[in-house]
Amino acid sequence: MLEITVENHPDGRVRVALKGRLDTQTYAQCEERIRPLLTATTRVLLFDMAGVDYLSSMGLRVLMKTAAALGSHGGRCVLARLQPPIRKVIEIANALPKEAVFASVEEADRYLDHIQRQARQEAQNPPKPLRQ
Amino acid sequence: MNTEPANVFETRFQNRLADLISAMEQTVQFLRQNGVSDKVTYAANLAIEELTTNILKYGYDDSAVHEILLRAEILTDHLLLIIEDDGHEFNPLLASEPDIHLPLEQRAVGGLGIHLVRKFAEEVRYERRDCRNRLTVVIRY
Repeated sequence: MLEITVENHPDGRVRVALKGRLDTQTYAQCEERIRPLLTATTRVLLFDMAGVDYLSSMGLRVLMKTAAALGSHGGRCVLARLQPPIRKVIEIANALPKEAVFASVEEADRYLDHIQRQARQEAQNPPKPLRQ
Repeated sequence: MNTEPANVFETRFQNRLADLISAMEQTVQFLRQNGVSDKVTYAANLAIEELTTNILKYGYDDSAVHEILLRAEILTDHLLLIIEDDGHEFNPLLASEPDIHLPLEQRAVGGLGIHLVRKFAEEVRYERRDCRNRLTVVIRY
């Protein structure tokens, strides 16, 4: 069984809280719910994994496909609050880079705020081209 | 009459996803009820799911109903899982390891499940005997 809660936040951030098992039985349900979110409007999709107590390779594929789909629009996928065995599965598969895995939702938000500020500053003051 | 010792659970199920899931749930419940730790139960659950779904996907050349045997033995210092099927000779351990360093969009779909099982278990063995495939998984406490 898997419960999925989607919250849309300003700035193109989406929080998807999962509760239960993400595996052979539930991956299709999860994919279906996430598919409409994989557009250029979604800048960041955060999976809140606190309630996930089981993740198998089928579940991993949903996370990896989500990250790849968002990446193709310049967006990103991050994970927060992984239980220890879930973290182990993610690490073994190297499913997402270490920088995309956070201990808490607040930590992820702070990091994403920082990235967004940096992007805005660069848009306002593009770095000077290096002298030849 | 049930002559199995109390620390052994054995079930036979048909090669359909619904039956596989129910067999997996029964085994996990048996492990929990017999005091197997969450960590070992997780590894067992993962091994059962990855190995049996692989059999359903790749093990058969026909669309007939086949039986799969699943057995769990709680031993002194490790948990033993045995999975047996009557499909064609199929050793999942020969599958090449997935390249986990490729960018996500270039990753191959297969191989990830077996890779996880190998990392979570102490040992995974394959044997072909009497026209049956037998997988044995050892998970240390």
